[in-house]
Amino acid sequence: MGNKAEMDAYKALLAYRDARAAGNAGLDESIDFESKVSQVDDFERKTELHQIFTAMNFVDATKVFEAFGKAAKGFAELKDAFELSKKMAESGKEDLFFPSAAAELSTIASTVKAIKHATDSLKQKTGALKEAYQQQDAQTLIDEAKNAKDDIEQLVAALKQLKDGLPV
Amino acid sequence: MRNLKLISVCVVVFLLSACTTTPDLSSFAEESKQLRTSIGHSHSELIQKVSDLNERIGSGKTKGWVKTDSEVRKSYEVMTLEQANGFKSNAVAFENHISTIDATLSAMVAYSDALSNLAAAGETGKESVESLKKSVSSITSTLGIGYPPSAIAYEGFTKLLAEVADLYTRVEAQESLADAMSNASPAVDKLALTIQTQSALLEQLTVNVMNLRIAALRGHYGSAKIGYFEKFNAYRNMEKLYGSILTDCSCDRSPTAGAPLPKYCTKTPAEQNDGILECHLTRESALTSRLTTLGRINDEHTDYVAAIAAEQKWAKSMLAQLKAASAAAAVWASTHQQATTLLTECGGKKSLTPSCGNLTTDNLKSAINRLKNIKQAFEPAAS
Repeated sequence: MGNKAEMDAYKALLAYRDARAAGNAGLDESIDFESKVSQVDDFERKTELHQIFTAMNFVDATKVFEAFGKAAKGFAELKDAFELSKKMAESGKEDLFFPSAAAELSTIASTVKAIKHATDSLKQKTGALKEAYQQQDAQTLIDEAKNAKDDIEQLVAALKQLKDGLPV
Repeated sequence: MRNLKLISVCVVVFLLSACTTTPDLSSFAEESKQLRTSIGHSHSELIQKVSDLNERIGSGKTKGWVKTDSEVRKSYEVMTLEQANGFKSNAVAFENHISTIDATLSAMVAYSDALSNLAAAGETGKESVESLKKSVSSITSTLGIGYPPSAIAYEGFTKLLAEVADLYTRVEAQESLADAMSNASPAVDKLALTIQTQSALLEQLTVNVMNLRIAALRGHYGSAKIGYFEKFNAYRNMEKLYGSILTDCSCDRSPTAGAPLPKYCTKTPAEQNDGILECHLTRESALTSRLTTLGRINDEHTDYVAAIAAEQKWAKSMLAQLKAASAAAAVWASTHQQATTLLTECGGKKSLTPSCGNLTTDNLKSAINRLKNIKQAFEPAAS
């Protein structure tokens, strides 16, 4: 009985080794070894089998750690590619014509409104229009208003072109 | 504001009444997050187990089940200091590698989110028109500019703008998506392969960690103590022991090489009875002593067996997780590949490519109807 148990445990040990050599994890083989070695009565033999198995696991773990390190380097190289593609997607989003035009015009509208309000308020307070135009805010109002007018005119002109191109 | 001449391109776009539908990239972004979470969870669990193992090994150095001297190795020394230290330094490097991987997976998720955001923005053309109308109205009323110009009917103007914005924005988004995804495609494919390789390695590491943790358990509980229990509590050995009491003391049997007849068997019946009783008492005393020893270590052995079962259960669960992550990576890459192929071959301006299937009679009819609808909206102003 004793010799059979030792032989079974030894076979289980070899099965684990072969599983790892084939690139498998060796879980079933490990569980089987644990079960078989617990049946070995000869304590010296049992200790020897345990020590061999533990040593194999340390060696295997070292190999896995090394291979994992190489795989991790591959990951690092991919990071840059993802970041670049992410920037491309973000840039594509920012460049969407209508959404960005809507955002820009919205900003201009609120700016124009705010500056108009500020200028009106200034006029009321000082009662001197000339002084108001000398302020930087007034100049900004003029620039923004001009830009807004140009943008709207371009939009209307383009749409008019399209309208003219529609099938009869 | 950008060059509005771009809008003229939309005349072509108009023909795409049913231009290619943008793939659901929000699901892809969700898949990406789940993939990272799943991999991250496996990493954390494994790091925790490795770290816990190293702590146990540290206590093993103090207790003595890690061999730290140069003397002959004892049976309770389940591992050597050299093995333990080598494992510990590898574990430190392992944690650093995990950080590298996590950073890449974060970049992958950020990329997927950016795709999803771009695809979603590509569907906001009509909303943009609403916003544009409000802004234009606000600006013109603030500045006292006449709007809309009398040359264009307001209804026609807004319908035309809405149709153009809707299609053109989608087409623009699809063009950008195709560029970004084509650029990322090699990285996506390589990432999926690397995750699969890495998962296979982590499966192996899981089993090694499980086995080493079991070795540490044996050290913790004591190899000889566990060995004693395993040997003497074994069914076969207990049966042998009880059997020997029943048979070895008896004179009514044939002698064997292993169990010759006791000397009292050749004496008088009364002396035989005394001898048999003495034999039973001696053997039962030995049995009682053994059962007492087994009883003393029974709880520890039960804990040891339960701990081994827990380790094996954990390893099985980890392997299942890692296999699932590996499979998910393949599906994730395939989803990306399909969307990329669709967008590069049939997205944006390529929607009219015959093989893309958008040039159907129904779609052309629909396009004509939509154009007529817009044209009609201009009629009141024209008349």
